[in-house]
Amino acid sequence: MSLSWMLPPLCGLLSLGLLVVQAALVGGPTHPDGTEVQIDLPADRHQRNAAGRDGAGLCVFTALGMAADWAHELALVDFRDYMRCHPGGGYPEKVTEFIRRRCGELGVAEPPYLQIQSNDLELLAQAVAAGHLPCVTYCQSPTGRYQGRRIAHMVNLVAARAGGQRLWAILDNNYPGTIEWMTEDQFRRAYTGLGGGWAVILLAPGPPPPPWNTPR
Amino acid sequence: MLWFLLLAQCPGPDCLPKSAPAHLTFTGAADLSFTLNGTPFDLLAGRRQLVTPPLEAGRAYVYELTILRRGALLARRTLEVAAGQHLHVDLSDLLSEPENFGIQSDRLAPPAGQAEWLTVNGRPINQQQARALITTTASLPDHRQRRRLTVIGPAAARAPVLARLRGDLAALAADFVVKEYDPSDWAVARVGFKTDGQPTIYAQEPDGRVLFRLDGPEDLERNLQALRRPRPDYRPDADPQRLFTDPPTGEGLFALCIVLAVLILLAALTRRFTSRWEL
Repeated sequence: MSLSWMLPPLCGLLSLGLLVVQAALVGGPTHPDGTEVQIDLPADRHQRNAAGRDGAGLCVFTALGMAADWAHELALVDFRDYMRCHPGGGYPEKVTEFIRRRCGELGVAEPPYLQIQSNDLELLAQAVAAGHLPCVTYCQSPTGRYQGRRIAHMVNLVAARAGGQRLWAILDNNYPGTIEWMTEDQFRRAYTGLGGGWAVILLAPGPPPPPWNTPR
Repeated sequence: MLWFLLLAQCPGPDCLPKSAPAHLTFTGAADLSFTLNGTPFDLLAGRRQLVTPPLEAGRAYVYELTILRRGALLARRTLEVAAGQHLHVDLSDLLSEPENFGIQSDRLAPPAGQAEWLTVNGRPINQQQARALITTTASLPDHRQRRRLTVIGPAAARAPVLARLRGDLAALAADFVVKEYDPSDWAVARVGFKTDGQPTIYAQEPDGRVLFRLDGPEDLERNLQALRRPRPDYRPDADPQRLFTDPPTGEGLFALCIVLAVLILLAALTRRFTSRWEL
């Protein structure tokens, strides 16, 4: 008896299984399983990492620039470019110092922002669900970027526990225009692997939702 | 093999004539380069040998080593060198730490004794606030559940509207997330907002449904008031009021016991009379 009739449904089931299993991948704002990012900063607003005066990277200030673009904190949207003439590298006290300095130079009030040094993911998930774009530490790509090596980096968190697979997703400023999806365990390892997680969250609201109405 | 003479940190007038140079050998991938006290060197064929000036015996000399790949800073290290020492520095080993894109990871740890550390605009939050923030019942500003009031237009047109929203209309606007945008801003120009008013003012439900749109400031107050008017289809008598049931109280239990006792007594009496009639 020929079993060839079973091949198409088996292939279908296999494909579906692979789709469900493969949570970690690089793609766009929609995961192949249909999950969408919660914070959808348009791809042409993504910023690429650069180097400071001493050659050290500006990932912290690039991530902050994109968070500011989302929150419409105009004083900090070009933070990366402002920092090019300063030494690179970032840490919590330096962020505090340079936000204060930049806003002081522009004569505007400092935007409200929260810094977290903790391995706890709850506040990050809550922040994304509430419409914020957190900047988070990131030490290893689960999809094989950076040849799988450990890195010291800051990226933006665009999804947290999204969709049926409760996926997390990041926007890496070394790969603008793309979104990297992963599981919660993978994100936890990436976030905390530098000896502890660090996040910066601008607290101003994001853009208004697209308008719609009921036709008359 | 190339030999370079380095300018070491001489301890000054106390330099003693009894001294000897140190020999430093650097190895690593050919795309790495490095600086010693600011002087740049390449790794020729993956190897470089340097000789220091004569160093005073018995003292430690410090060289600041910076490792780069194609000009990008990878790591900084401090080398301690002594007179007559032969030191092999494998730059690849020094790079076993993460490749760095801009994090000073040695400054990320919370202050000593703290499992976590939270600040708002650089000010530490006290333990109670921190606990409140990091529990699952924490409340970051959740803008997604609030109505939006968006003012779009040139700065000169927006300013008086925003001044009113912060001033005499503040109470009416308190329920809204208020944001202002230039007409060309990506956040409004690309997603369908009308942007040519003087200014354009949108009021929206959290899901984006437009409650009203104005192309000027004239009717703003009346529209905001209208949103706060009672709805004609609201019936207070249809409101649910008790979503819970009272647990039995001590008085309730006492009454229940009395009822049960009476029932048992009646049952016993009934049985007794029934038995007699049967006799």
